[in-house]
Amino acid sequence: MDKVIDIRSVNFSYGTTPTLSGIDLQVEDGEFLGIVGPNAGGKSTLLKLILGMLEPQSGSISVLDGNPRVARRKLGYVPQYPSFPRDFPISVEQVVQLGRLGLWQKAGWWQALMPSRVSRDDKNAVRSALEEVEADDLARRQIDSLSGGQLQRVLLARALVSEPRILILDEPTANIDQRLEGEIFDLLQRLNERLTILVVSHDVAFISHYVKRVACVSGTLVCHHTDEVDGAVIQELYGEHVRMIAHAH
Amino acid sequence: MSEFIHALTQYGFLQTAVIAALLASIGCGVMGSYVVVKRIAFIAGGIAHSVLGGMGAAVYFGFEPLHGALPAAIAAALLIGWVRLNFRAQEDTLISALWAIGMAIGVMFIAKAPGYQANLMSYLFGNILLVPESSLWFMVALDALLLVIVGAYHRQFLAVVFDEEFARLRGVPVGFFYLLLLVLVAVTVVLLIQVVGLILVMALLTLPAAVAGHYVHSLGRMMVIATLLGAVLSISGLALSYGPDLPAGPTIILLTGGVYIASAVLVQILNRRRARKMARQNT
Repeated sequence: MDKVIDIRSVNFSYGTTPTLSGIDLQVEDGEFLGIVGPNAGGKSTLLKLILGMLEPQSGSISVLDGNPRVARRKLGYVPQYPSFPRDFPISVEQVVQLGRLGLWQKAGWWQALMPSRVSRDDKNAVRSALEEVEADDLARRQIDSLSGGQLQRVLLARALVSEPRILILDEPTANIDQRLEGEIFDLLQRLNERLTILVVSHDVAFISHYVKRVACVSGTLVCHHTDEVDGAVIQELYGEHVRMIAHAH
Repeated sequence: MSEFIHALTQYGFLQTAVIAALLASIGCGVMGSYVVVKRIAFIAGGIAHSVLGGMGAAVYFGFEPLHGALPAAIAAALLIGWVRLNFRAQEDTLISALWAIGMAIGVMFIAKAPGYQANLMSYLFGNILLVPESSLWFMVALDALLLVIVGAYHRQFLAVVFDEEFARLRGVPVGFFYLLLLVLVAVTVVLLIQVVGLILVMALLTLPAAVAGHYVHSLGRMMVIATLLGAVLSISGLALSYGPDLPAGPTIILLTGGVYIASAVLVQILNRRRARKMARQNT
């Protein structure tokens, strides 16, 4: 299988505080990788490095055989917290349409002359993406009228509408209840049939049902196959005794 | 009011003032909506006040103040935008400094201008009745520039004002469009300075758009409503000021401020009623 992400000996720090040290990670095409770890362990920083939003101080990162900044148009990203005000006057359809920006080279000279034009292809892609996340009935709604779960689906549609090769999600279910969490991960499992997926989660036991491999990030990074993740691994990752509760979703 | 309408049919300067108000409303509605939703009123305030530096320099060197205002506004927009993009942590302090320095330069130039001492008050608070007919073409050109650029790149602007991080990930040159947006705000400031002067410009730039935002939920509709509202408020303010010989700029601003407060109160009352009605339906 081809490697779609290749990270070698990466070090990164904010100011003088080291956040990630000696990170090595290879992600194969079609993989569904979970990223877990304690708060401030560097999970979101790792995603930002892969997305080309941050530059490592040393080491190399290759995404889809190139620089992350170049590759990022082929990546779909769902943030942990929306970085926009919820009362912004915009409809769901318009939010998802914004995910089509950056595809103008594909659309040809007409789009280059009129960069704000929404083509028929764009409209069809928006409809398909909303249908795929089962949010087509929300298209005309304002974003301030959406529940946490509905907004998460819309952000997922915005990431999918650009037809990405890799989908990257930062704690996509942090703000929604357990039932919706299961629905979102079932959807991700279906998407994994055609996409490579990286998902940050706080719930190791839960994502172990879905992912094949878990990257444990706490300043450094160690990968485990899900069947190897046991109490000792979790305790080592979090650096203290972790109260574990057996639960099923 | 009838006195104003009668005078309007007779005096060319009043007709020019009405046309200037209509032209300024276009910038006020379109760019004001971006300023309100992006919450950059403070940045726009910094640009507006720094303009005095350029107007003062133009007066000192014997040019029309407005010819100094446009380059000064664009320079201030680029400088403030660069500060915001690169020094976000000290953004407030740096913009306040540029705001004050721009004004100080303007006052210094005006104080030392040779010959006739220009009236500082007319730059600060504007005088729509003194807009020369030749300025109308300048205003038409600024409006046309603004509409063409916003029309061509409205999705890119929407992406940048809505979610900068996501826009950057989609390959939108966020820095470029952010600076372009501020330059267009600067152009609008120059348009509005003719109507209400640079001190009061912020009210006309933000309040019609904020009132529109109370009732519509799309940026496009907000721009249309804010433009119409800006036109109605400017012309009504002009009409109200004419009879009792009040200064037009402050009258327009007081009217606009009054409409904004009334609208904000009305929206609060309507929202509370709606919430109570919903609660009753759910019980």
